[in-house]
Amino acid sequence: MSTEPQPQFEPQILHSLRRSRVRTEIVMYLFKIYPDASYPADIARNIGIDPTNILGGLRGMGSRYDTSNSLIERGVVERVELEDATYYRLSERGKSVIESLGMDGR
Amino acid sequence: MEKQKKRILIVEDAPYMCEMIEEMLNSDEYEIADIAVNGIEAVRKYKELEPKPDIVTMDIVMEEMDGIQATKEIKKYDPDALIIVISALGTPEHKKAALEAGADEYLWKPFTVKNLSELFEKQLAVKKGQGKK
Repeated sequence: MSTEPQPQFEPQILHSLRRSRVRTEIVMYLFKIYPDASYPADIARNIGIDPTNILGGLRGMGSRYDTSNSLIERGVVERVELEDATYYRLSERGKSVIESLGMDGR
Repeated sequence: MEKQKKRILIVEDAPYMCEMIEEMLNSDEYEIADIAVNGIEAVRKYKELEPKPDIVTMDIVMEEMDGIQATKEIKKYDPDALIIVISALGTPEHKKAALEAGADEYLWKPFTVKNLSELFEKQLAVKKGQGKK
């Protein structure tokens, strides 16, 4: 039986990005620095959005950033634990989704 | 004969995006005419630049004046300006607002070098075609 990732998940990822400017800006920034990882305060400084919202986009937070659509939950971003600190990096899956987009963003 | 590079005015308040567009366009075909960090600066720089930029890349969410208003002002000053809005605002309503303001194209983030290059080539070809009329 095949264990290949199922492409039907991609529309859900795009849907999650289209619904949130914060999530989209985070993904764009992590795509720029790929394969490097970054931490929330650094992401916040580079994209001009406050760290609380960055954490909301990455992990979900309350009713404003639902966890089911968070970048971690969708598998677009992965955690990297390094020396007692948590960094975030675009996943292979996230990178593939971006690279598969056409000019019209689909 | 040396090919003339296309000149780009980048309107963007996030440092990483300016760097990214600059890196993407670092080629024999394009050069950065200038960078503006808000709409007011964008309109002023567009008016000052000579020759005029071939392309303006325009963010939407910026302080002072947003990209929608800046697009309207630049198009009012120069209806031939080629403006490509680049935004993380992902709804069809945002795209519609940008196009109604006069933007020639709307590129959703996230995007790749390939997406941006194709869009530039497409719009420059359209502009060239219009100029031959």
